[in-house]
Amino acid sequence: MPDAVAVSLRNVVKRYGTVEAVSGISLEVRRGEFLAIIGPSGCGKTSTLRMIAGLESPTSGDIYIDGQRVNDLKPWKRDTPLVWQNFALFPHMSVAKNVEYGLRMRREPKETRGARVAKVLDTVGLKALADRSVTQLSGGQKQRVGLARALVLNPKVLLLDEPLGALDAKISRSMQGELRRLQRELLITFVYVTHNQSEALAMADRIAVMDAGMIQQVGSPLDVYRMPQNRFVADFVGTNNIFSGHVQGIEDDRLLVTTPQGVFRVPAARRDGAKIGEAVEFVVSADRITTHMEGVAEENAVEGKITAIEVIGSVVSLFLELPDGYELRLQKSEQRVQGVALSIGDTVAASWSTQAAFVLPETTEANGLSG
Amino acid sequence: MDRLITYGYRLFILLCFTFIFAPILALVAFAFNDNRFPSLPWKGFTLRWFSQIIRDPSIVAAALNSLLVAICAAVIATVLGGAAAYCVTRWDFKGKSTYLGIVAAPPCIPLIILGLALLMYLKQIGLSGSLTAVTISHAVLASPFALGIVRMRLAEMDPNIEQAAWNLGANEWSAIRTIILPQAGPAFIAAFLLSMTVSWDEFIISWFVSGFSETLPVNIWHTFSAHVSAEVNAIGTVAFVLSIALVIVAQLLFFRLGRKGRRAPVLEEGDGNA
Amino acid sequence: MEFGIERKRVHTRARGDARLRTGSVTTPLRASGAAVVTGLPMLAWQTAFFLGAVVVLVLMSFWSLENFRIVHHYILGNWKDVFSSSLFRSVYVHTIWYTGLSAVVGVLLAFPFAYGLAFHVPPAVRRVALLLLIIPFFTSYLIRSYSWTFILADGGLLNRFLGLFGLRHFAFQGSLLSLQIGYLTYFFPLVTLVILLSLMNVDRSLIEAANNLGAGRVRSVLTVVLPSARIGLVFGFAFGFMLALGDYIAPTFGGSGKRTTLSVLVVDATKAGGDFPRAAAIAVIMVITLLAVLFAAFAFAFPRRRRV
Repeated sequence: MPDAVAVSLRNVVKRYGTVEAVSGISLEVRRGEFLAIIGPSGCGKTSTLRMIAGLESPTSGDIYIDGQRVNDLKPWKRDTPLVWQNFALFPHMSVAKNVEYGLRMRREPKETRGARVAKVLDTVGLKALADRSVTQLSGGQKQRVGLARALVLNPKVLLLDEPLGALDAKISRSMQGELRRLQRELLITFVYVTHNQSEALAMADRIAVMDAGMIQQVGSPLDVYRMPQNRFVADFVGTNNIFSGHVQGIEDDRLLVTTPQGVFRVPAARRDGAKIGEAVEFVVSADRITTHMEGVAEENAVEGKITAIEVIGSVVSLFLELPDGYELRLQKSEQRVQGVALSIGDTVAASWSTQAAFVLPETTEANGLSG
Repeated sequence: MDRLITYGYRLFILLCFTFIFAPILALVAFAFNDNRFPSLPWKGFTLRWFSQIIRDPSIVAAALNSLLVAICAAVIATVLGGAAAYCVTRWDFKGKSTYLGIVAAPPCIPLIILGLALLMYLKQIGLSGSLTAVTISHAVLASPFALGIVRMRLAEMDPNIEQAAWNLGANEWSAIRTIILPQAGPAFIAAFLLSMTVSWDEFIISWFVSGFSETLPVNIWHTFSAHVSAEVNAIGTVAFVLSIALVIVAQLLFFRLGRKGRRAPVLEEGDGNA
Repeated sequence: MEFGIERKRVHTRARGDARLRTGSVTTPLRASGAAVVTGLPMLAWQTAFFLGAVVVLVLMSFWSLENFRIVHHYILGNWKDVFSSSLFRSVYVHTIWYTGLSAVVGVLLAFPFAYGLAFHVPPAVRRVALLLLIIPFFTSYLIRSYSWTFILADGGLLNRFLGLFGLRHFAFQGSLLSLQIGYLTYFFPLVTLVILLSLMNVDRSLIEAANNLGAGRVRSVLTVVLPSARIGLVFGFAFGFMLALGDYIAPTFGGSGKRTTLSVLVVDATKAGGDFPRAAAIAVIMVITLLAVLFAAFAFAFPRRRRV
């Protein structure tokens, strides 16, 4: 497990005029890891990336790359090539010349340049297009040129700003596989920014979730997916049903929580010293709820009317409206519901086990972290 | 009824264009007319007016002066205006509107007032009465056009590209040299050509600030306010041809070649290692 | 003013990332050698030669000419002379009349011209037309004016053409008509271009929508087109007036002794008498007049929005 720190952000703040895009974040990117920063539009993730690259300067705070403080270091002196969402290829140059550009700027001798360019083009699978003008390429090909252009420099840190955003789904998925493979092979530190959580969950070693200029949680994909630290992360990542209520009773290792949707049991492990009346929020992932039609009834049960059925590929999502208006979301693979007759308007009993619930460590205050 | 209205408009359009181009066409036609008076009747096709003007030393001298001034003024205008266009496109600063106001104002002042002011000023600092004065004045007049043209082109360019260049190790000058200039090149050339045209045809300011070295328009004015001659048609034809050629080339450069990278056939997605 | 402020507020309300993606190209200027090297030269040049010239012009109007030399003390005598001259006053009034007339006529003719090009010709023709409008702007106005004098001369094209129909010769030289033709030769293509560009911005689907809602053809045109056209019309008038006011060639070629304009006075003062102060004073009056007319025109075109 790589221990060294490639990039370190300490209390970095970025203000544009009166708007605070980044509100004091601290983050460490370990050498050789694939770190994804995810969050909704406007959360500050791209600003953060650009500050690492030197294209923006932090208003306050420090940025270190490989132990060196780089706040005042110009972008062209840093070793942090970027792969851009809209490719940013140089239109008047061929593929090879685009890829070669960084080496030229570093005064790499002509002889070795050619070989390095050829090698990296081979790696990304564009050898045959070396002399093609970049304006004639498809989106996926352009993105690979952008990637090659950055990789050829053997950088300390590779920055990627929503690189798959402009590609269609199929190409995007195959590129995800390629990116992951490349990163593992070359052991380059990747800092990958996206608003698409499935990309991050598929590729990253660690994920940092950002919102409103602050980091909400950093952890492995599994951590972030199954154990969100606060309401925002629970809402943003995965498909979670979030419940808010108060502690009504305490059993050995469980809490009895009363909510507008009913009284439920949640694991008490994370809430030692919980008091009666305390506010509690917990989440139940949509894929951990069963329906009575599947023949299993768990401890925590509710009843609701189906308001929508969504089928995307082999995943079926059911939306139940509970008596108090709460929308419960269930997610099942198609196989599970084959043979079960479900239609809009049906009343369904749904339930989940106590272990399926996860209590959020931080409770959202009235005007809390996000809304 | 609709058709009638459309035809009515088209007829009017035709009349308007006739009005606009009548002086140009008439002049060119009569330049080949073997008639001392630039008018009907048509007395036969001839090139003698052209040969006459080529052999007239004052006309040739004036034409060369105009050309020299045009090239120098255009160089200055393009460099000043082009650099300023980059500055204005890339940065935001307090007083930017004032900056643009000062820098782009000259074409908005009536030429005669501009000419008068420049005459007085250049006289005060001892520069008037020469081709240098004309060159300086034309650069003042033409550089806003250069600024506008280059600025338009820079605004179309993807702003990320310059940043991508920095990101890959190019400092500001390298990025300008390797990325901005090649891409905006046609616009610079268009700006240069248009500045040349502005200078080449400019009469009133030249008349005010030049001295014994005349530019062509001034020469035309002096020689032919005195008497009617068919030579002016020949000179005019040459002048028109040059101006029109410059404008058309500038237009082509700006709108066709300058657009590299905007329309391109897209290949099939596939493995480039075939 | 208000509009500009509104825009700015929206701008800063956008979140950090969103701002970057709206294509906001400019960055705030921090000390940068590149900025100075690229931005300063043009500023220096225009300040040195353009602003300097303007300053000298204004100063000159306060100096005076004595014994064929310019005397550098600041007096108002020059201005008094100018204002008290009845010739000046009459020429001033006539200039405003000729210039205003030409601008109005120019716009009246340019509007249907531009309208036809905007809505009654195919797009390919329009593109060619745009080029054809730009070209004359860059050819020598002096030479085109010369050409017109030949066309309008007694033995010239137009009279011969009329002669074919048995009409007698008109003395075009020195008439108001030839003066107006002269001004039009100067700015007609430009004014047409300005109006055409503003008309091309009109959303044609709005006209159809108006038709659908029951407005007659003329009415839908007026309600949809006119607001956009208004801007073009005002700019067109402004350009026309500005160019005509400062023009020397049209009144010299197409005018005559009784159609002197201010620009002719300026040239006479300068070339004939070397009376720079007088010429400067007239020039300053011209600029003030121009600014006043432009201000009035724009106030008419863009009335302040009332507070709700």
